[in-house]
Amino acid sequence: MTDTEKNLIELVVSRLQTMPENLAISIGSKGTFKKKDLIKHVKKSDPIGKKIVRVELEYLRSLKNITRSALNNA
Amino acid sequence: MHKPAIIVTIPSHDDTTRYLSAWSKSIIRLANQKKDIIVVLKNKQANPKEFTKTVEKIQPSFIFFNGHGNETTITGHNNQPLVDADINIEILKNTIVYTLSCQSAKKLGPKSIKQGTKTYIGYTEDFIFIYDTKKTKHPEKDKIAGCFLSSSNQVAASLLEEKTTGQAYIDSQNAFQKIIRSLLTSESRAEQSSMIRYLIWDMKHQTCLGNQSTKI
Repeated sequence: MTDTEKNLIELVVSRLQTMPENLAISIGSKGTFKKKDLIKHVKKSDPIGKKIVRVELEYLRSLKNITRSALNNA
Repeated sequence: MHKPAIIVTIPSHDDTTRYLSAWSKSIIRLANQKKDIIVVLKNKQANPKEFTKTVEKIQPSFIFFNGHGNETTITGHNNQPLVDADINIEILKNTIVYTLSCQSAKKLGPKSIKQGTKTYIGYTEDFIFIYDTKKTKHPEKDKIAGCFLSSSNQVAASLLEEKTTGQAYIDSQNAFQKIIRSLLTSESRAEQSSMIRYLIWDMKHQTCLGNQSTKI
């Protein structure tokens, strides 16, 4: 695992830690996951963990456009 | 006057399908108000035999699937395959399809268009949503899940309002964007902040294949 990948996992884990305990995430037929489960998957970098990291990466990549759109429509 | 025939599948065997089922009720109510011919395949009725029999009987112009799926399959009760890209994809011929399930617009959707489906709207990746575990007994009251499911269900609502498939897709994209904007520009709480990335994910992976100007 590269340093960039390790940093990304740390970032995603930090994000997940801010998620309230009462929330869960449904990822289709892969199941439903609470915060603690998701953090374990991300740290293990298994398929579920990799999916959550992909979601975060796509979010970060789209943030510039989304923010611009939000400001234009505010 | 033309009355569209519609099939809605709503399995309800786990938390995810219970949520999809609960949030599809407003769409079913809307179809009933419009006096469309609607057959709801609920719970165990969402099985391959019943689905095939209903399609042959009513020849639907619109099928709204709620459930699980993957790149090549849409499933019903207990994840029984209702449509398989390699087995019975012709069952979608001449219909407009909206699939609220994971990944089916990746392979099954494009293949169905080649086989004569008019329009296929679905998701090329997993449909992800956040829900409040304190609301699982009343999913319809879960406003967090509602941000995801009302945006996605806008496709079906717009189609029932006699809009084109292309416009229904745009309406749903706009519904996602409206919620994302409101979360970004408000003083968001932790739960709202958690939601944005998954709303963006669903919005980006929703796709409309085939003819964009058909109506149900």
